[in-house]
Amino acid sequence: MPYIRVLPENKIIKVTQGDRLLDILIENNIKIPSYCGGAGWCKKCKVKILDKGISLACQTYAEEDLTVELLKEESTDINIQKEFLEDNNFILSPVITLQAFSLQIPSLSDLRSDLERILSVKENIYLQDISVLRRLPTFLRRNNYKGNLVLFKEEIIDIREEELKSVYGIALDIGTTTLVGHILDLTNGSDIDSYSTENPQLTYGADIISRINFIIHNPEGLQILRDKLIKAITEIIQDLCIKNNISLNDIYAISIAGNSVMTHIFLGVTPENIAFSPFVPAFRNGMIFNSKDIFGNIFNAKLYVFPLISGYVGGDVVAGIIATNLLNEKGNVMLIDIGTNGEIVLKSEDTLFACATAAGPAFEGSNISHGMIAKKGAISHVWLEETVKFEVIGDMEEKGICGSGLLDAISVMLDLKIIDHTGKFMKGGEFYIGKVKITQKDVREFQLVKSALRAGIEVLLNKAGIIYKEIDKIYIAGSFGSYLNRKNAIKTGLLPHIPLEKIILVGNSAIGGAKIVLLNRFLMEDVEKIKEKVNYVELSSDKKFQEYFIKFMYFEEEDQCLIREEKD
Amino acid sequence: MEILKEIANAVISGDRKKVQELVEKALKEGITPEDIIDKGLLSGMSVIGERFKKNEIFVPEVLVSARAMQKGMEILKPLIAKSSNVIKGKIVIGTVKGDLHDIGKNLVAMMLEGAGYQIIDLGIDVPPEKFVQAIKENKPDVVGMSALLTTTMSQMKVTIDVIEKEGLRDKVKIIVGGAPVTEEFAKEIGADGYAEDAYSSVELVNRLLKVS
Repeated sequence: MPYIRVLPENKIIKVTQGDRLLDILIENNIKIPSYCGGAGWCKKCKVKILDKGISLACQTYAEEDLTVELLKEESTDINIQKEFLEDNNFILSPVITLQAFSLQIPSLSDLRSDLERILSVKENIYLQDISVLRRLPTFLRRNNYKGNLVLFKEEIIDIREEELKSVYGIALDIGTTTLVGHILDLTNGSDIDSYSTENPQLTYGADIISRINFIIHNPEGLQILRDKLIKAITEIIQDLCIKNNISLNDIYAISIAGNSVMTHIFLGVTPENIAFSPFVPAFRNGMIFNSKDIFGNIFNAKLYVFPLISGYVGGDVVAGIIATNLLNEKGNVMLIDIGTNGEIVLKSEDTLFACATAAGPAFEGSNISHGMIAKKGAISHVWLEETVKFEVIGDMEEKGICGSGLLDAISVMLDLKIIDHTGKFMKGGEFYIGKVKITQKDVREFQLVKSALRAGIEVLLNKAGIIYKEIDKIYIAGSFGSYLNRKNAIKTGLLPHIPLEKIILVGNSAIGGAKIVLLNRFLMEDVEKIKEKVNYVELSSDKKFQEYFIKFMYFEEEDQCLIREEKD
Repeated sequence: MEILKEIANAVISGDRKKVQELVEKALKEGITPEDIIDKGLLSGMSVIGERFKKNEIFVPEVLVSARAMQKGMEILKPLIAKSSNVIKGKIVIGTVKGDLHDIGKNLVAMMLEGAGYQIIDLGIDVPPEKFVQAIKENKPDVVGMSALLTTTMSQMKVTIDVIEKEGLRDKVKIIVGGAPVTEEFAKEIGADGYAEDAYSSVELVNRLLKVS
C-alpha cells in the first residue's frame, strides 16, 4: 500500500492504492479547498506533487508513494474577504456570541426569579423565545447555575452547557445554477469549509423565467421548487457539519444571499410578478427569521435574508456590494456580477446605480450550439501560439465551450480574421477549436449578449454623468468572472477600454458578503441601507440602452468613447 | 433605370444623405413616387432582408438601411396618390402586455415597411384593449404580436381571446413571433401565422394576404 507524505506538515498517511488524493486529504482533516465537490472545474484543490508538478487533488489517484505539497490558497473569494478585513480595520463582532455565566444561587436573601437572574448577566439582553424560557428553571438547577448564553445580537436564543466553546454560522449563496455554502466558526471568524452543488431546480429550466413559468402553470409549482431548494440546502448544511465534526445544534446563524427570484422561492413567496412589466417583487427588505419556520426542527438558528434592490438585482448583488466594500470606495467603481444574468452596479460619488441584463444565453451556453456551463469537458481558455491552443476543464476531451472559452475564441477568430469587425465569417461559416464547432449564429449570440452588457455599463456611466475613462476600478464577480480574460473582454468590447490593472476579478462576491455579515453585526445593519441608496435603472424601457445596444454590437477597433452627456 | 438602382444601393449601404439626394433627383427626372418606392427603396431593402436572413449582415446594418429607406419614404409618402397600390396592406404591430422588448418588433416592422406595407406601431407593453382599439380605428389587414419571454407569450393568447370577444377576429389575420414562440404555439393559440425571423415575416404576410 502506498504512502502519502504531506508537506509542509510532513504528515505521513498510509492509503489504499487507487484512492483519490482529494478524498485522502479530506479524510485526514487536511484543509484543502474544493468548491466543485471534486468535479474538476473549480481548480481550487491544486497541490504540488514532488517530481511531477502542479496537479488537482481531485484528479490525482494514489497509485504509488507520493509527496504532496499543499499550496497557499489562491481562491479569489477568500481574498476579497481578507482584503476587506485588512483594508477597513474590520472588527470581528459576530452576530452570535457566547456569554458564559455563573449565577448566584437563589436564597431567602436573594429571591430574584430565574429569568431576572439570567438577564443580569449582561446589559440590554432580552429573551423572547418561549422554548428557552420553558427550559430555564431545570437547566439552571441541573447545571449548578453555570452555563453559556447564546446571543443573537442582544437576544438570548439558547442556553447551553458550560463546556460549549464554539458556535457556528452558515453563509449561503443561492444561485439560479449553483448553490454554495460555507461554514464559519463565529467565535474566531475562521472559514472552516465550503460545499457547492447544482441547484436542483435546474431540471425545471436554466433561467429564472422558466422557473417562474413553472410556478405560473402548476398549482403546486412554488411548493415543488421550494421543497427541492430547501432539501438541497439542508443537505449542504448537514454535509458541512458531518465533514467537520460539528453538531447541527451548534449552528446558530445562517445568511442567505440569493437573486430576487431564488429568495422569493426560498421563502415560499410567489415570484411571478417579477416576470412581467413593471417587474415588482413581493418584498425588498432584508429579514430575520427563525430557521425552524423554514427548515423545521433540525437546528435552531437565526436566519438572515439579504434585501433585494429590484426584481432583477437581488440579495446576491447586495452581498457583493458588501464584500467589495463598494460603499466606502472612493471615485467611480463598478461591480459586474456575471452569472445567468449580468448585474451591474456603479458607485459614483455618493450615488449608486444598478441594472441587469441577460448573460446566460452566451456565457452559460444556453444559445450556443456547443455551449455549456464551466464544468468538466468545457473549453475554458483559447489562445494563439503558432496554432490555436486551448484548455479543457478536467484535462479531458473537449465536449463543449463555456463563457470564458467563447470570449477567448471570438478574440482569436478576430485575430485570425476568421470573422470581420461586424462579426461576419470572412469565408466559410464554421470554426473549430479541437472538436468543438463555432458557427456564425454562435458569434451573433455572443454579440447580442456582450453588447447588452456593455450597453448596460454605458447607461449607468451616462446616468452618473461620467465616461469610461473616469472609471477607477471594475470588480468582476461571478463564476464566469473567475476565468475571464480581461484583455479579450476589452478587445471584444465587452468591457470598456481601461487599463487592465483597474479590472479586478473577485470570484464569488455574493458568498463573500454572506460571510461578512455573519462576522460583523453592525454591517448587517448597514446592508439594509444599500437598497435605499441604489437607483435601479430598468434597461428594457431605457431609450439610451437601445441606442448603445446597437452601437456596441460590432467589434470596433476605434476608441468607443461616448460623449459626456448631461445628467438627467 | 440607373438612378433607381443607385437608390437601392444607397439603401443597402445605409447612406441616408445619398438616398435623400437621389430621391429628389429622381423626382425631378419625372419618375413616379410609386416607382421610386417600389424599384428603388423597397428593392434595396429586400436585398438587406435576404442578407440578414442568411446571417451575412447583423442588426446594426439592417437598422442603418431601414433608416435610409425611411428617409426616402418621408419625402415620397405625401406625394403618392391615395388610390395608389404601392401600399400593399396595413399592419398593426406591438409587443404584448408585460413585455418591454422593442428591437425584435422594430426589425419586423422595418422589414414589413421595406416590403411595402403601412405599419402602425403600438410600441411595447401593449394591453389587449389597445390592440382592439387600433383594429377598430385603422382597420388593418394584419395584426402582429411580439413577445420575448416565455412568461409574456401567454399574453398573445389573452389578446387573441379579447379580439375574438370584440367580434373582430375574422376581420384581421393575426401573426406572432419572438424568441420563445414556435409554430406549434402559434397554432395552439389560434394565430394565423408564425415567422421565425424578421425577413420571414414578410414572406408570411405576403402569403396570408396573397400578395406577391
